[in-house]
Amino acid sequence: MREKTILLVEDNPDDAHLTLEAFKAAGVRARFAVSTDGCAALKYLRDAEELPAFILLDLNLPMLSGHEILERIRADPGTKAVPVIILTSSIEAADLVRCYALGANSFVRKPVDFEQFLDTARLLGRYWLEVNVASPAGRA
Amino acid sequence: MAPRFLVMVILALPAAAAAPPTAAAEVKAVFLYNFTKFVDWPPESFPAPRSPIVIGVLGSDPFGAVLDQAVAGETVNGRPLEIRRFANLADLEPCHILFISASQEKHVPVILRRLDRTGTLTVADMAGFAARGGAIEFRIEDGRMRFEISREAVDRAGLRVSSRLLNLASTVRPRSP
Amino acid sequence: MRRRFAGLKLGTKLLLVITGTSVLALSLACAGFIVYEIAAFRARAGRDMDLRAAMLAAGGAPALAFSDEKDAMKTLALLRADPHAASAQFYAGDGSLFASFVREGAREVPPPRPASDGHVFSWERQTTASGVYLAGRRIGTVVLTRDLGEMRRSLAAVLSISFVLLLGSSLAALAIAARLQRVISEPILDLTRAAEAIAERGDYSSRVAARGGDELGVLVAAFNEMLAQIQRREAALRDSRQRLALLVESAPLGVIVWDLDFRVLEWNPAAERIFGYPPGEARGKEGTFILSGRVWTAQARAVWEDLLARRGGARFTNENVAKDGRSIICEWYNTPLVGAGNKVIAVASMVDDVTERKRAQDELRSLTDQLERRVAERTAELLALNKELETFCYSVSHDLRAPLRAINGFSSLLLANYSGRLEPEGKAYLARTAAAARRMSEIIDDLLDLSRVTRTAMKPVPVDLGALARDVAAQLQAREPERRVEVVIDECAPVLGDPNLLRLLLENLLSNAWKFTSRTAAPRVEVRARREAGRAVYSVRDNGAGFDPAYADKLFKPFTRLHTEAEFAGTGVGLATAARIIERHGGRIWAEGAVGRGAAFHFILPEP
Repeated sequence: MREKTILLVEDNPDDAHLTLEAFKAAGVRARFAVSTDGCAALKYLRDAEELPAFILLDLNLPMLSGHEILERIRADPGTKAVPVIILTSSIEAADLVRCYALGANSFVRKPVDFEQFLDTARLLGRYWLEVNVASPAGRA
Repeated sequence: MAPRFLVMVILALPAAAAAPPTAAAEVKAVFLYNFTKFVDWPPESFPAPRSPIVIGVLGSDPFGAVLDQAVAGETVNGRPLEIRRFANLADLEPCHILFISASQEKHVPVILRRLDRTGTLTVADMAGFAARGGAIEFRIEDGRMRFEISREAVDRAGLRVSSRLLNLASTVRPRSP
Repeated sequence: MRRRFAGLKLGTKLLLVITGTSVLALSLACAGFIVYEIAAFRARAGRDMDLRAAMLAAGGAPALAFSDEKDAMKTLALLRADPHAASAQFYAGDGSLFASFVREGAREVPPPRPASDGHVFSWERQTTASGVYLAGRRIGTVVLTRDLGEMRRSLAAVLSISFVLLLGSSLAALAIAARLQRVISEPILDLTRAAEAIAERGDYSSRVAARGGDELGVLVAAFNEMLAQIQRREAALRDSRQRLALLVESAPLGVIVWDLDFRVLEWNPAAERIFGYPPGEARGKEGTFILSGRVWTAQARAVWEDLLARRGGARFTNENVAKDGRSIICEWYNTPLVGAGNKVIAVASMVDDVTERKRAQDELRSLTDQLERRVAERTAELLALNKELETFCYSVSHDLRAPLRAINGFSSLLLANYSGRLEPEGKAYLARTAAAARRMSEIIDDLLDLSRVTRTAMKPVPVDLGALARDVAAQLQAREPERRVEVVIDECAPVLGDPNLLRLLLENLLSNAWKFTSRTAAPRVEVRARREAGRAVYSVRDNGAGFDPAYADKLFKPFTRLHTEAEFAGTGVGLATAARIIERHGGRIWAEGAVGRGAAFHFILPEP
């Protein structure tokens, strides 16, 4: 069985690195594609042979903000079914509400503590790669 | 005899009809009517309480319709007045007042004898009628119609005459003593 | 006529009334008597004539029946014996004259035949017509005329007797009235004289001599009583007027009375003080002399017209001019004086010079305006600062946490992946680096909480604090499942507040209690509710480390710590956040405690 792809949209290289490490240390077996801005991410989604299993989306991004990217993903019939998990430093209620309104599947606050981040990564991987997989029939 | 009698009758009638009543006849008719108001007849001379007072005319009638007009519709003491005409003595029926026409002058004694004590007030306009035994005699005095009353005749007829009538009479022949 | 009578003296009037009444009564009696006499005579004469006519009719009936004029004349001639009979006629049934008798020397021969039966009276004669009947049938008419000379003579006699009687009794009435009228008119004349004397001299002390007990006596007594009352009233009026004059003289306000042409009638010393004109100078002047520019202003005219029309104008402030030309601000209280017939007869004004007061007010107002302007500016500034702070907080939550996350993350990765290459001391340093980063992120979170408490809009709803406390306590227990803490939470009446903020409040207070009982043998945390002075007081109490009450007031300041970090970890922001939440709800929070004997935080919240 082929490894699934996870699209990470994150401009901060430290955060991107730590995220990859956290998922790796958590034992999540998946390929990671990383886009540092919205345009790249949307381009990837357009060109990729296979859609990612889910998208980890930062909110505070250059050029296109996370909200805008989410909006476009949901507006495109080809990508609108892809699960999007918001991964952000923000704890503002306004952000959370807005993201869910735009169709985010989950809203996760980036923990400062790496141990916690690890737990978070483990939970996300287990849920979106193993538990909540669309049935082959549904996929067709 | 009979045809002659007939002729007389025939002659008499046209004469009565032909002679127009004079003003004097009119006055006499009213007097005849007025006498009924001043004379009292004995009750037995009326067959019923409402029997009429009968005024008869004997002989040729000088009044014509005037007499009938004078009494028409009048009543005296509740009694109506009735006019009867008799051609001659033979036809005569009982009357309360009988006017004897001048035409009967020569029969007057017979007539009066016949009416003696019958309660009939005899009236005539023949001169000397009262003297001959008639009750009331019309006569003209000063161009006015007046009358003489014979109290003797009235008494013998059994009638009572009002003193007021006596007052008006030009002459009152007194009762026989 | 009536006017001329009204002008007569009382005695003459009485005389006229009494005499007039007597004469009138007698005249009426006489007239009545005469009328009765005439009527009685006529009735008598009528009966008499009827009788004669009947007799003639009876006598003449046969004559008429048999047209016997002589006999009729005989009947008529019987009248010769009657001296009153003037003439008599018989008419036949057809209306023609039948027989006529006329007395010798009669004035008229023979009178015309009346149209109908009955009596006709004239001044001269009486004519009677009657039917002549025979055996119930009318056969003619008898007309009888009678000379009324006798009646005229008797009437003349009655009239002359009446006149003599009238004259005599009138004179008698006059004589009696002349004597009697004095009894009535004298007391009235006395009253008149007294009233005239009072009217001339104004001496209300005089009295009228008392009379008997009749109405006039009562009138005199009432008059005297009236005089006494007037005397008392006048005295009271004099006193009242004096008081009023003193009041006007000594009033601190200017008192001015205007006539309807806006001319000064009254002007008191206070008015002189305000405007500088002595009363003698001000009286009679038109009011424009104290108006600014000494002319009618539109406002003054409107006020004056309103006053006269009684629409208002009662109170207003106006700029006036004093005698020396100073402009002064005056407050006017005006009232129309309404007299009899509900008409305005004058206008009264009370005036106060408020120039100084007005100046002070204006100054105060300008200061207030300035202050308000400054407050508005500051508020705008604060709003801008607040906005800035919000932006700052947002970036703090994002941007400050990213490097901390990197420090912690990479330190952790170093420890995990490269521990073999590090000395134990190096590992310890890395661990401390990671811990420091974690701590700093906690401080940042707490600070964000604090600022959010200040910034967020409140949505007060009824909240069950007890349920909220149990929820928070369960979370704390879940975070440290190995710890055994006895938790007691009372049932609480609902309070009015923002549920999110109140949760944060309880989180702070309970986690505080949780933390400070970590070294206590039998840790116990209580949430108590009680009523004190009519208000619900809530307490979060623990039996933990406690604090020195000397520092109780410092507890609620951010970053204030009474314990070392080594003893009890903490950011020093939690209690400040709690205090700020209570503050925002309009409540109150205070602390109670002693070192080693636990702490209690009491607070009051608004109730629904």
